[in-house]
Amino acid sequence: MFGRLTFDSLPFYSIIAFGGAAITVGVGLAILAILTWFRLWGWLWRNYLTTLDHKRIGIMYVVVALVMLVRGFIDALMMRGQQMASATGHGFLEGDHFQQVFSAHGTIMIFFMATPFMAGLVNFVLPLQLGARDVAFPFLNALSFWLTAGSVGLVLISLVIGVFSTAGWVGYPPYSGIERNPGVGVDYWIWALFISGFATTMTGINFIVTIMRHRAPGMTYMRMPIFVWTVLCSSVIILIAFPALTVAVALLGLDRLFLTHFFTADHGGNLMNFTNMFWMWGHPEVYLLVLPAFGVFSEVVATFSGKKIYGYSAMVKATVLIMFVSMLVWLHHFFTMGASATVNAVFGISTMIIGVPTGLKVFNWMFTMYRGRVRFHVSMYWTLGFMVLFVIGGATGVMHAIVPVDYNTHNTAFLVAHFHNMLVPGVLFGFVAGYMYWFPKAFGFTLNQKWGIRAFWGWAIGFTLAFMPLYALGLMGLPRRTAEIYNPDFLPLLIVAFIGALCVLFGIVALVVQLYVSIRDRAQNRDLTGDPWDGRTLEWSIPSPPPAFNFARIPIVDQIDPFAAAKRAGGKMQYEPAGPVELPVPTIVPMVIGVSGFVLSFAAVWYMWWLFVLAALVMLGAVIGRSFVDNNEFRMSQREVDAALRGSAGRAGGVQ
Amino acid sequence: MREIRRGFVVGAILFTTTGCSRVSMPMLNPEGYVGRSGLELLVITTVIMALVIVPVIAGTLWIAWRYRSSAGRTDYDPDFTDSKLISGVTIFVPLITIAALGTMTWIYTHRLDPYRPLGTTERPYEIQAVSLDYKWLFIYPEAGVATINQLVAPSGQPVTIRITSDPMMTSIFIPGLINQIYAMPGMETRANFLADNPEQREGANAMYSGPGFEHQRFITHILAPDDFAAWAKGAAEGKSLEGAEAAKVEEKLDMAYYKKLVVRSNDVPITYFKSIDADLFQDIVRLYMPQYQMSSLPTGAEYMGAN
Repeated sequence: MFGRLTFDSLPFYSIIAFGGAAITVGVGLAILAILTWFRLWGWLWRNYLTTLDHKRIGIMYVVVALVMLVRGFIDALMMRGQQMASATGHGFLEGDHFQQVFSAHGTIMIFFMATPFMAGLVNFVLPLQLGARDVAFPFLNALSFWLTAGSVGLVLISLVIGVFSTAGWVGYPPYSGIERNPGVGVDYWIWALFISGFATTMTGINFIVTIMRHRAPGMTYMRMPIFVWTVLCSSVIILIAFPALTVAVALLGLDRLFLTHFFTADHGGNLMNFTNMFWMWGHPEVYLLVLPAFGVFSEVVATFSGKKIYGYSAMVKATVLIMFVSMLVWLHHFFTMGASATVNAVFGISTMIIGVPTGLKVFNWMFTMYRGRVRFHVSMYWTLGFMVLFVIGGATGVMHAIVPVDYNTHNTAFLVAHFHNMLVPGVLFGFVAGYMYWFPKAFGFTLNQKWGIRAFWGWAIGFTLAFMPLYALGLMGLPRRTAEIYNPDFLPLLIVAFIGALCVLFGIVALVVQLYVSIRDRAQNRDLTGDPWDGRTLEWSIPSPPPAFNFARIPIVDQIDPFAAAKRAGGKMQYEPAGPVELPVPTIVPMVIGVSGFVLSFAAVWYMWWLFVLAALVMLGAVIGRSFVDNNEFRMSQREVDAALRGSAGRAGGVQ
Repeated sequence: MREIRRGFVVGAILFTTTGCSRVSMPMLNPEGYVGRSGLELLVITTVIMALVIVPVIAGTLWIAWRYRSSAGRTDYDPDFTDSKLISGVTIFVPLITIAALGTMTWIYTHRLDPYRPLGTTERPYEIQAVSLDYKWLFIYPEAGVATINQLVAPSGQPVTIRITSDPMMTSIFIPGLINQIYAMPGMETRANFLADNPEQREGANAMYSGPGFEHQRFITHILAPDDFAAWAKGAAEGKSLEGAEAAKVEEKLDMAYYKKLVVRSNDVPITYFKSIDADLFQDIVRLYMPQYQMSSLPTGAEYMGAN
């Protein structure tokens, strides 16, 4: 009945694991209680659970990402604490508990923080920047979100029932194989990646089609905002790279479940194939995350310099070049696997080539500020912080591409410092800058500037203190994933790194306080114009928050930054003639499929095959049932549109 | 020119290593050709990149401050998006930097190919390394002995280590002496080195392979050729290395004993085997890859000729 799920699967084996489970369950219950107490279930059902509106789906993605950021950060704090404590003793994480925390941190931050954050920002912004009413496939969009939410649930429940993987976020066999790791941990990891991999692939398809088919009239490819270009390239990467991961974890699952020999060391299996397939996804993954962050920085720099982006066409070409080359570098993750010198050198050089378009981008952001009027909005802080810290990470990245240097830094703390240097100032700073930039568009009031800047300093200083010592520790030979520090000489640097983590903790608290203060003072910070930052692209030409249909009349575009040009000319934007609007009908089906996906994966992890079949049937039934629904769009007449526009804002800034 | 370059490298090394002992910064205090070349490369490339990124960081902050809106500058130009000079800089600075680093990568990757024996005609001294959960087994086929968690090698002579693992995927890494390379079950990888002077250096498995992997460490003792020959002779009689921890002594390492050894264990003491089964390394790889055939080690000239 319950497969291999027994009472022993509950986390009573360690106080820390039990505490983590208690917090997870407690927070979950608290949210349910708040929703019930304030009678918010109806509101939640109407506005979020059943919505197909890209803006609301985007908001849900970002909420998931922020929650998982906190969860992933707690893991990070525990690891910093354990390494520091174990330099003089054994620390507090017993057995392979450190490795669970490590694996959860990596998996969460990449798959369930960065990726949903990206998907959320893009979901919200993309149709608005294109002058579109929604993404190309609203139902598919909601389905992607709910499948992602299902896999997030799977990772969260692994803390309460059973254990998480100890094989790291990369899950290399043979360590992740059934012989060495017969428990449920690796299975949780496989199923979470498998389901969210599907979801992300569908998201990529959705974004590509939206960009190709739903641009406003006159918006040629070379008039699209840079952010849209980065999303297009990032989506192409998703489409090409994600199947490699999905197949890799599926084959690993077959090895574990049916004792096949795809990746075993014996019986003709080849464990190096997993490494190759994982990084054929894994390296492009970094670029599909960082490209939209580059897009955010481009928008922020242009807006707050009051200028068009410097070298638009060079920026576009650089983005496309990064997209192509990003798929030709994966081998640099295992120069130490013993390939010939020529193979290693070719991949080393192809990796460095990415430095050329990336360097060009950094210069173009610099020269966008040149002869501009730079306003130091909080998003600008994140952008400048990114530019300063990211080039350091870029330099250490190039060092890793120099093959013999990589031999000496691979698998050490130096490597850990390098990729955090790309992912924290690069990806996360970008997404947070975007969050603070577009927040007023989403909710109709601006975020508190003061707490935003405090959060920035917490993150920037914290990042520097936490990771610069790791570069030094790496050169001292400290292997990554070391649970017990074997050399007490490392203690001083580990203390500095821990202090850095505490500064980041302050940064996270400041983000929460910022949200609280901003909501409390929202009456004073209302964005009545829809254009609080003197924006340049189409999303700022509509009220904040935008009505469900985004654009009452579809704008006509004749150049880059059309809204800025219209404002400068003192004239109005050009619009297509008014007409009725068609919007998708809300539906619960995506959520049903997402929840079933969660149940199905959970059942598979615990070998509860009857439940697995049941959940699969529900999913299948929902898909088939949905295909018989014909009335999945409703029409708003021009009068209803006008009424909605007046109701939602009545403050369209005289532009609409 | 050569002197200038050498002086520059040495100066940079001294500058970066001030206060760094050999134990805490092994990479910056290398021994032998491989470690020294690695450090040389590290220093040169760091300097090249610093030449680019320091001005970029300074320039970013300077431009942002200089063109702040409160400065009220009159040269504001919202349409300034193109300039031949600036665009030239933005393309050619990264391009030239990467071209220089790319060239160095090509040269040094071939020079430091882990499979390339050092020395040309001299046949390298062979040592076989097996990574086990969580200890290192080193076999010295010529001397007919084996050691656990202690690597002893001669100076002034090229050495080749054949590497495999059982059953996990790990990596062998002796910072400053040999470059890191994976040890994988059913496969043979290699590392080559040529130490100039006798010394001691820590080695490790740098790749997670289970709780306890961080203690899968060993001390490498580089001995002068005569001392090494004496040690090898002594090891066959169960005599520990002078000045090192006394070893536990076992008689013969054959497959039967190996089966006991492969069981997961932590904190295994330094152990010497007075004799070995000659084909043991090949048999270990064959546990996973039955068609594996151990080939003889090439000299540097033979390797370069074949590749």
